[in-house]
Amino acid sequence: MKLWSLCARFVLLAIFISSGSVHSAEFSRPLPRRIPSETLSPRTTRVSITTLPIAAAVPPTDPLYEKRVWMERASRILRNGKSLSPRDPITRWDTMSENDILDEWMGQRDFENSLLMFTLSYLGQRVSEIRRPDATFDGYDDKVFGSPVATHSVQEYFRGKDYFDALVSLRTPVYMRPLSKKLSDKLQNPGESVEAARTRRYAEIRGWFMDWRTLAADTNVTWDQYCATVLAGEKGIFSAAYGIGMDGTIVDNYFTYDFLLNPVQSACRGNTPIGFDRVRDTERTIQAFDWLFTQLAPFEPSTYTLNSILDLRTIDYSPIGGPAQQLAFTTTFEIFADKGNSSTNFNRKRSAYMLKTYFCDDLTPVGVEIPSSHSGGGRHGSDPSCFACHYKLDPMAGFFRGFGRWFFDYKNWDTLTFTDGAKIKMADYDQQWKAAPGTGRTYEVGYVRSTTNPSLNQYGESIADLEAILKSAPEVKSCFVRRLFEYSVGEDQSVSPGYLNYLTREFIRDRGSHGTTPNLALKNVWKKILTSESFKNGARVTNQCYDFAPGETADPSLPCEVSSLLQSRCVMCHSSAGPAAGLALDRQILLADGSTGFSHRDAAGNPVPRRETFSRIVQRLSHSDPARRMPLRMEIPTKERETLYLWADREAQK
Amino acid sequence: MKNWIGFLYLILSVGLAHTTLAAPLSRSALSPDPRAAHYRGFIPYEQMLQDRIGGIGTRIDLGQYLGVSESLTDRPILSLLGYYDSDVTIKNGAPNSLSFLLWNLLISGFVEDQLNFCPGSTSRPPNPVVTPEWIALLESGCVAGPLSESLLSQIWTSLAGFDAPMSEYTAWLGDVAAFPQPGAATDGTDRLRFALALILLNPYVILE
Repeated sequence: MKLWSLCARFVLLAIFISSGSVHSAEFSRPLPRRIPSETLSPRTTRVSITTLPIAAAVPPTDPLYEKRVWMERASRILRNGKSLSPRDPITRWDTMSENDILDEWMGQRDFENSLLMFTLSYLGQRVSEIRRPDATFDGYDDKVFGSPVATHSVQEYFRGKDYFDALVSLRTPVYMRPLSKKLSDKLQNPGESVEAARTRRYAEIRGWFMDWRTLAADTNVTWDQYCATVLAGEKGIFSAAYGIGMDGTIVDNYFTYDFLLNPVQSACRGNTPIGFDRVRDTERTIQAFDWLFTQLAPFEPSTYTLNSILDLRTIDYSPIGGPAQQLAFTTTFEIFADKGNSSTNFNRKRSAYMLKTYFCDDLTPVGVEIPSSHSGGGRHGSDPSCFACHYKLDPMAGFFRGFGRWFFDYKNWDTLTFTDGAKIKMADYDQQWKAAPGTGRTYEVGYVRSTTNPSLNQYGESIADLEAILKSAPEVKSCFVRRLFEYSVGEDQSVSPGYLNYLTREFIRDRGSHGTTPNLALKNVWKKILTSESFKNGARVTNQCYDFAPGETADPSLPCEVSSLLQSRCVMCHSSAGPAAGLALDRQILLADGSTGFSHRDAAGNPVPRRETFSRIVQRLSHSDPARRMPLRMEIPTKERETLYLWADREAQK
Repeated sequence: MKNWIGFLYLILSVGLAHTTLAAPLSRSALSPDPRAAHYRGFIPYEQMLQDRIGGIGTRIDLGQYLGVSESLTDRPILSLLGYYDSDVTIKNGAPNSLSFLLWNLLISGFVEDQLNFCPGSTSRPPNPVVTPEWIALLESGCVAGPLSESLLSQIWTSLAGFDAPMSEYTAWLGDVAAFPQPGAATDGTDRLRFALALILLNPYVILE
């Protein structure tokens, strides 16, 4: 049988290699012959559609075809969704190693949008294509402009700088897309260029500002009168940025809302920001508007064309008090709009986003130990059933405590406004995150791994501190590798945690030894994933694992993810050779009741019933006493504990 | 005759739609659970055809085959999806009966346009958006006599690329060889229509 199979393959390969082609392109070289040619003519014999020779009867395919199947799929990942084309040098690629092909593709221009697509996906934003013919700004999807982290990290990659470092940075340069190519019909006269219309509108709007200044200086004008002019009507603040066609840009966000609207609106509502003076600040507004207009020239669409995301320019408006860097979320629409800071969630939506995106923590309420006391008292989340998530959610939320509605930074204000319009005194609000006396910390803010062992946690106070945590926490790198795997292979594909940990170790090692090639680690880990069996196997099933860490073996009787975790986290203590507490988790056996389970004996040597074994595993995985919580003296990633906990819980119900 | 072919095509299509939802395709070597797969997506599918058979400087526009619903304020069918609350999607969604109907409409329209390159067609477009190589394959594939496997393999590869395992190609060869159904009168154009549609509706080609 084996000999027949080998001969058949040899013959097929020989036919494949020697076949001629009427098509000149190398792409369409004939496939190996499968059916005698005479059967390919129309025929009238009775053939049922269900009795035709089926694929299963045909010998498996040849290696070259398989390689091209792999190339086709890898091409979509790394070449911006492109299929193999007759215009591609496919026969040259046929002769190259898989890693060399991937290296070549990662150095090509198409990789720019592929990397951007993955980066947006990593950040939780789904786009089906980066560019499309009908998109407004040189074919780019708006989400591209709303994701400064994605833009920045991709630009860094192609500048030969560190992509990953930029990806986990929360402050980025201030990027600005081209200004509108056309103002509204109402604002732009027929036949007038957009630049001319902008200049004309600038002069008109400047006239409004001069009127505001006159009003502001007139002591007979009340606040109500001043506010009615500045905030309302067609000549109010909202029309200023729109009037010159910079609406929707980052400058609009800053100038209209942060610079103009928030201070004036607050002042008009009697909620005076620190140091606001209507005369001085109206004057300051005019100067800022003048300065800003002079800065817009490089962003005119006539001179600013986006052929590549690398062309996206930055703007520095620090001369008018704007930040030299922006908080990554302030323009990311989904985050900006969906992650409001309400008077009930206290930044927890933002916290959940951080934990999910950067730490792969879906906040599944796996039981955790409950502390004996809370600082502050009465804090939401202190309820034991809620605490399973809140112990890490609240401290992470604290990093954003200064950011209220629309991510506006209220650090210099005495009152913070929530997205729902409610207000709170900053001092009272800040108090929510104050650490308990004796902890040695000012704030209970940070990334919390353990509620009982603070030395395992990473604390901080500011966005800069959070950024430092993202750059140093191993969970973030592990999560990045997981996301890369999910993006390349499929989100629902099971993967051995041991394999992911192996990839993560390699990623960390390569990052530590990259020398002058800071993206070597990214390239290497992506190449490993794209050459993995999980990626290559076209007939894979989602609940099986196909790749394992060196030395790791799978127990086919267990879910593969569980099998991997038992090996890496449990059997060092619970093996047949040395079953701690009488429990051996290295292999399943046939139990006395006929079911399959683990060998487990009590202190007297009597077998423990299967359900009780799993119930105890559940208890010990979520025990409140660190001395009894499994794995003992080991903090494992949340995802791993979740996997073990949910599996054992299911087994305990059987 | 065309009606009969259309009927066969509909049966085949419904069968395929049902297959992707409920059971493995009868002679497709699908991965074990194709139901988990989503459509490739409208734009990526169009891009895929563009990469494989699209001419340089031209654009294959699949949107035209979804037509215009003139009685509904000229709104293209595609944009009607999501107009009302619906779980139907043609873009990156899981196959269901309605979404498959739309894909079927799109692909059958595209296939009919390809048949315009058959010799004798009076609707041959003056400015084709596909490559001369692809047109040459179509011209050769329209003939009523026997087709060489070499030609068929090029038709398959040109459209399906290397998305599908070779077993799919083999199964397709068998289907094309068995066309038409016993007793049915047909010509080379009908067979090519059948062959092209089978490739473009293959789950490995149409699904992610």
